[in-house]
Amino acid sequence: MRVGRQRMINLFENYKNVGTILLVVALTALSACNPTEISSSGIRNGISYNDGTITNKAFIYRDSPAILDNPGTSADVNIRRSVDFMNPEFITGNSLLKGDCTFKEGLFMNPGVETGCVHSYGSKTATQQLLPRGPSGSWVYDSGTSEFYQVNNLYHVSKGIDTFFEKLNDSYDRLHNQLVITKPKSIPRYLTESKLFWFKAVSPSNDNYFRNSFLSSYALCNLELNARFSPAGPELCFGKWSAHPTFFMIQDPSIIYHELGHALISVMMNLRNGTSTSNYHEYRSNLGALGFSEAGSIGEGVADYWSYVMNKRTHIGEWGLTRANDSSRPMSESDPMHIAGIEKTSEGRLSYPQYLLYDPNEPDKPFEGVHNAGQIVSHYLVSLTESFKSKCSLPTATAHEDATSYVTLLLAETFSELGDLRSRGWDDDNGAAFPDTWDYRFNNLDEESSFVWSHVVNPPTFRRFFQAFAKNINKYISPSSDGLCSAFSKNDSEKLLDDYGLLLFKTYNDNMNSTKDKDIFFKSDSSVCDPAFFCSATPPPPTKVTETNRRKSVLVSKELIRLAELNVEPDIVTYYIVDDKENMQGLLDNMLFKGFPTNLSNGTAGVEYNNDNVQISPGEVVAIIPNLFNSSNSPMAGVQLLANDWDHVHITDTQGTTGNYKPCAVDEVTTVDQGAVANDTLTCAKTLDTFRRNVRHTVSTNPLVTSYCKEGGLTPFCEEAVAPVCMVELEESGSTRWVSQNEFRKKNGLALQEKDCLGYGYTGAVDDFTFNPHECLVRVLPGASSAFYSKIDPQKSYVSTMRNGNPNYKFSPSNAIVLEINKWIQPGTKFRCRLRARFSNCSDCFSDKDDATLDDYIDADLNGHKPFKVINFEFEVND
Amino acid sequence: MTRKQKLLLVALFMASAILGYLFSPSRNAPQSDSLVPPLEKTIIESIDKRIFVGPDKKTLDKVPSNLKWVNKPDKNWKEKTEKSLRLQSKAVKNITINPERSLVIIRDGNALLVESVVITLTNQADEESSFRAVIDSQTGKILETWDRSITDSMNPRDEFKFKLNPRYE
Repeated sequence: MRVGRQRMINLFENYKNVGTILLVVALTALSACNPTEISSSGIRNGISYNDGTITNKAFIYRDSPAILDNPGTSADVNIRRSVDFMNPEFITGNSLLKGDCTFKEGLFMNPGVETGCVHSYGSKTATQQLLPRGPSGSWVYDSGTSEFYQVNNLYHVSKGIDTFFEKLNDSYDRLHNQLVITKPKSIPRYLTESKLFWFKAVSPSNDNYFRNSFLSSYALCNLELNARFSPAGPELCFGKWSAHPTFFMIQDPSIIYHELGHALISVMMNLRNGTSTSNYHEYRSNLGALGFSEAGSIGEGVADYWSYVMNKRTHIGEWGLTRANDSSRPMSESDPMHIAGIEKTSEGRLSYPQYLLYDPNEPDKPFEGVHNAGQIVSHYLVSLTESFKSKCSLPTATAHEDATSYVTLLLAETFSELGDLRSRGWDDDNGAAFPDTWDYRFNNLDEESSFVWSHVVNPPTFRRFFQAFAKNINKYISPSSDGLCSAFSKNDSEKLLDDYGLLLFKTYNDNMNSTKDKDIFFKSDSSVCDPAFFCSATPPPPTKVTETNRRKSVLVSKELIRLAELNVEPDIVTYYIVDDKENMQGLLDNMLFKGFPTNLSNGTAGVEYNNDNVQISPGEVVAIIPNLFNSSNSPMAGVQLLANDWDHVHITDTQGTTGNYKPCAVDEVTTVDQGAVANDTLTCAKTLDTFRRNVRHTVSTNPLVTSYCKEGGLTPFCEEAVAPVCMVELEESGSTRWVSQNEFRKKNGLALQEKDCLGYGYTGAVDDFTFNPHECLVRVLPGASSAFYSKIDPQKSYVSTMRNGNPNYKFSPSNAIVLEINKWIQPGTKFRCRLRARFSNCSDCFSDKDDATLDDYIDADLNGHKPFKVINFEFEVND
Repeated sequence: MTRKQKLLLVALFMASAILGYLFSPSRNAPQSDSLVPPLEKTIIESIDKRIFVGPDKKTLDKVPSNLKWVNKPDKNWKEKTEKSLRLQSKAVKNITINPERSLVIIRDGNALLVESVVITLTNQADEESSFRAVIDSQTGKILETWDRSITDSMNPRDEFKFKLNPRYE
């Protein structure tokens, strides 16, 4: 619903004393001077008289000019018209412009207070100072000045933070003190100890990791028509529009709440990444990747939803996203912006994947963007909230607050589980931290590889996120015994998810089995059943989805995805090569600025070798867009293509000197005749349960030091390891076979030294940290080792789906895998890269066809080929 | 005493001094649970201010014995990192690398000295982006990145895209 004008017309209606009247008169006089550009010099506290009614307070704008004044308000806005001069609001009791956070574990528990958890600034400078409270004791400044925006910034950000803590406190209390105390849960009991209810710097110590325990919010950032959240600050940053000096993104509170929403997601994803302030995981979890991804789309959808939580409006950015470019977004099917056919019926919902590319502002121009795809998430969350309001017998006066608290509980549970880098996912019934001494892990493989697992190999997708989210509905909302709203049943939940095409899973994966072994599972009494320790209990089957509820969520077999054949559609090729200097440099520039450094190999490859001949040539850095084809009659969506190392080889080197390997015969493409090992023999018969990417490995000479390479422990190469995706064809003794690049470089007349290999660093060989000789010739660049494709229409390739008749369509960096090609490669050398594909609405990517329980693959299985369709990308290097 | 014996004595004295330093209770670094072989001076000087991250990413109170040190600190690591970043992109105007903490990451008996940092970039329009990274203390090589900026452009269609070569049309 869009709110119309709320102009302040009855100025004197609520005045309670003469002092306030004098104050308003003074303010009116002050504000008659309408600033045309932002003031940056000095502090101009607009109040010289304060009878106490405005101590620690200020006059603020409650919404954007488009809402309070007029939807068509000019970008050359006079913000004074939007300020509520009747009801001053509390800003902060601190003498400087910063707010506090209070997390309470329960009604009678000691609160965890983070003093000064948010700081408000104007623009970002090296000498930035927090604004002091004015001499009158108020925070009133001339409207339109930098100080005025800083104050409004703190007001809205603090309001959003306070609301978050109300809901997090409520969630904590419900989970740990009230109804559902006998269930393992993800929001940790030890939040006060870990301080991870907020951004928390490590202290005390001689380091300054997570440098700031506070969120800095910059009202007037040097950012053109943009806003951002930077977790490394952490900071929020609201931009400007140079063409209109009085226009600022900070003028739109819905944008403030959206950006704050990103920060809150960051908090929720890391709730579990430490049990005290001295044992934080080395990294933090984030949501999103380069360009388009479903993780990023979930982030945008939830951030939009936070705006709805705050202002109850199901539309975002009427001012901030509309004035320069129509890009505001609805969050409900009833929004008049939507095209015909989108409505609040089962058939009319904004469903996945039909509306993944839908831009309500330009419905005729499909666009692959996280904000568009995120609309499916925000619409679902708003519908869920409305269902809670209508079904859960909530008091009318607090229905919005209560219903959004339920949703926040579900979001916090889900995000904290998915983002758990400690690899537990939850704690025991009583909320005690999972014992660190146990060997068992239940989420994101293990601590060593949890970051790679949760961000590259198995990142949140619409399937993964909504499966966990729906599991939490079953766990906390629907149960008749102790659920928060038993009137909202499992059936209701499944039907609503299906209305949105989000019933993408067959089970809830709620049987809590280990990431390493399906027969090990977390029992309901919070102990672990391990057959090795005389537990003979059968792992419980996961709760199944009622299949009759699946009407719109169509699942498709992975066998129906493959590389497009040449000209199967007009002008369609198997894969596209970007090898011109300008585009490739642009891509590398973009990647770096987005936080994806690639450690380019200096001297052995570089953009300077790019020749724009749409072939892969020695020395080039090339982007490849494998053109995946959907040969089914339903759309495929959320297609993930991995080019990172995986367990697809059997290492044949028994001396530990070369690490040479034979490929496992994981499909019918690389056969035994071509040098492969049958998949049911040797190490190819099983999948590694750890992710160790370096074939090369140096170990301690101390026999007491546990070595990963147990059998070959004193040799420099492991006998088992994951391997880079690209093999090379070696002709030898009249036959050809696919071999490792390390073997090829020594045998085929190249005699390349290691220093001439791609990725060669100067660090000694160890684990993941240095170059791998098996990618000496062709190397997938770090940061570009996975690609994502939003959707492939039935009987179409990805490229023709996206072009949609427009030959000038441009592709996103997230569609590409980037390779370095060693300049020493002889032309004619052939490579085969074994990429792995799966997608969110896949029917057979997530459980074994022989498993009647339909239980999801465990995390260790994602080291191998079973959950994926192997995509064999072949090319010949030519000048 | 022969020259050889003198040298041996000096070497023994140096080794004792180094070991004494390593196991001094006043050091901030975790203490070793057994003797460690003599370390290079640069490593010794470096490890007392480092946090040791062991298996399962747990902070260690004691330095495991007989670690194999796979790198040594280089005071120019930051410059090397910046050089590598500029090799990737000349469009970046400023690069700021703010160290947050120094670590020793131990895996399977191997110890790697790394720096955990925040990298802030500005483009030609002086707009910022930032991310965290773990960097090899010797080579400056970036080993992992996270905490990247999330931007919400008013014009998402204007973000960087690449067009396919006209030969594909």
